[in-house]
Amino acid sequence: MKTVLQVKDLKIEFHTYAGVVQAVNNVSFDLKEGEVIGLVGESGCGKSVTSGSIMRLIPMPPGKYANGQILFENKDIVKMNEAELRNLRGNKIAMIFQDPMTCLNPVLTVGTQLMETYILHQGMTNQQAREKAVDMLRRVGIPAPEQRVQQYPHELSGGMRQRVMIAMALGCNPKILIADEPTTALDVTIQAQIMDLIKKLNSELNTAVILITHDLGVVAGMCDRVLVMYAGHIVESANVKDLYAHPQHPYTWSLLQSIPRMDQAKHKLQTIAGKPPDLLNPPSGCGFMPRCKFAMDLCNKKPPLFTVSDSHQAACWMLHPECPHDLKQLFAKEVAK
Amino acid sequence: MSDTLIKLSNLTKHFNVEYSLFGKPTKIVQAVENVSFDIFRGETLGLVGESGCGKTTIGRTIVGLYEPTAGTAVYEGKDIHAELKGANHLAMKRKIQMIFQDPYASLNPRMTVGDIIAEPLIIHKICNGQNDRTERVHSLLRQVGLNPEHAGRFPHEFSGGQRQRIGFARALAVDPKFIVCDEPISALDVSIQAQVVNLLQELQQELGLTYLFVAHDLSMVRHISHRVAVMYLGALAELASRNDLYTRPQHPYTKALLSAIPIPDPVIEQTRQRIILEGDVPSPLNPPSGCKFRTRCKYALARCAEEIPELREVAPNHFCACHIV
Repeated sequence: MKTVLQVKDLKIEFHTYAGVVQAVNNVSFDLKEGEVIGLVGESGCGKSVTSGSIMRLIPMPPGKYANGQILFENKDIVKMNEAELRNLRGNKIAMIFQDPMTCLNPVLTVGTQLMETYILHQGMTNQQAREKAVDMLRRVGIPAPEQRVQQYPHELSGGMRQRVMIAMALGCNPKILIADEPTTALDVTIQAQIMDLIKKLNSELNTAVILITHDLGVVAGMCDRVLVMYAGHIVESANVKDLYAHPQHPYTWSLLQSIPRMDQAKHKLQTIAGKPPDLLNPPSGCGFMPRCKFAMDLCNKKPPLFTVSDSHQAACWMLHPECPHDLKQLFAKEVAK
Repeated sequence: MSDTLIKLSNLTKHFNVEYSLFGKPTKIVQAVENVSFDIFRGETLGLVGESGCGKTTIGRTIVGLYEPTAGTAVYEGKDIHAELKGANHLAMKRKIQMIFQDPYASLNPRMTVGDIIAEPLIIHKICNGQNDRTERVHSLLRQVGLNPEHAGRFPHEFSGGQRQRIGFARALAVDPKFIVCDEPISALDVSIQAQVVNLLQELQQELGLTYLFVAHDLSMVRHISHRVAVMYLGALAELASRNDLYTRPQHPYTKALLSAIPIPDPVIEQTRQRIILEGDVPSPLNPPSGCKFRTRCKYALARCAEEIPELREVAPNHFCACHIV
């Protein structure tokens, strides 16, 4: 499979009055054609900044690309000019957001907003664009699309609005769809509908998807590969099945332990003590160290990404070949439980 | 556990949203329609449903924030709303407390944490004198896992999870018997949710509290509740013990709801057959006749449009409101 997007050593800082916030640090990953990758983590871990930076949506200043490259079709998005960006956004890379109400313009009809994309990027006439808009709305499962194109966003429900957003995003056949918590604002039965739709369109159109979420259940059903972020770093990257069956980073493991499962009853939920570090003065070593049960002296130094297998990497010193054997065993025992 | 603490009988709550020129309501939101159930002493009853199904309205009506349109809510044989209007209203308020969803909006930003927790103590005249009160505030803070030194700080200095703990301390200040937890964890991060839920369970065991746990996260409700009630568009669809409801759901809506919840396990998740509901929840301004779920139900019969299904006991202690079950 062809690689469509390559993020290399991305580092993003925000220069604020309080100091420099290191929101994203040393993030690298590849996205292949037709692949769905999940970007998981708690609020403030840098997942939305990472995805926003791919479309250059981070306000600058205060934001700043301190380092790294984002390669798309052999061009570095970080260095693109406005004209190139306009051709990229919404056309080659599209995005859907968490709250579909605030992303749609309340004073324009749904049809006008959909048509704008087609007219701008594909040079369609008004008539063609209208037909395409109706067709796209039908594809995303909106009943009576001929009437819907004339309605305003407030006349639609949350799930419908998200479908309109998806229709808008996929209208130009983008190579990449970035979905930033697309179902967080929706109810579970509607979430199931939307996830089903994204999956269907992903296999029909072969669009690569970056799914940003904090819901490990959604990730399990949707993604081929998962990147777990913590305090601005990718701490683990793995094939979805490996990640859930054999988590290698203590953070991933604790996160999986702390969520209740609908299909089984747990006695007591495992908690992660403390809270994520302040990114204004991030710890010099592993960001998870203060909350980690398995921390050792070495963790004061930043761990590199160790390779576990071809498709599995994790940034934890426990994977170093010289790590004490009993500590490794202790962790393996806990995971097996 | 079969000792009834709270009894709701045909509780109905309507909100008038639009009035005619002469003050007659023209648009009515039927938020809660004829809901009856019991909450037993010492249990956690989970109340689940999608947004707009009336679960929060029930919680707020029980605490007395809303006056019911019809029906009653009874606490240990006393009508809560009659009691709240009478001379003994403080005694009733002491028994029933509430924890709110948004820990950012439910704490006064201009008061210190100590003052926030001391306020109910002053209103209910629980502690005599400043020293007693300070002592009590400190012990409450310790009880919810905070530090007594935190009493002098303001809410903005705390994280979401810690603020929710402050909310618990305020609710616990008056020694309540019953607490309505209105989505106490939905605004928190996953790793923090577990901390807060564990705290809720510890407090329940220590103090013998009874909870009504309102939530939309069905996995968490399974974890914390003894019994679970499922609501749809203002009506109760199903009520059963936790294990019965999750392993043997009866109502078509419960089945669809459970199947929509993603399970954090790719092996199960990628092979699972989902029941995907068509369409959206109808507006409570103009709910469908008969069974409210019939517009999205694939088993709907002609009868479902005519007759409102009663909540029947379909198995021991398993209640379901559906004609076809």
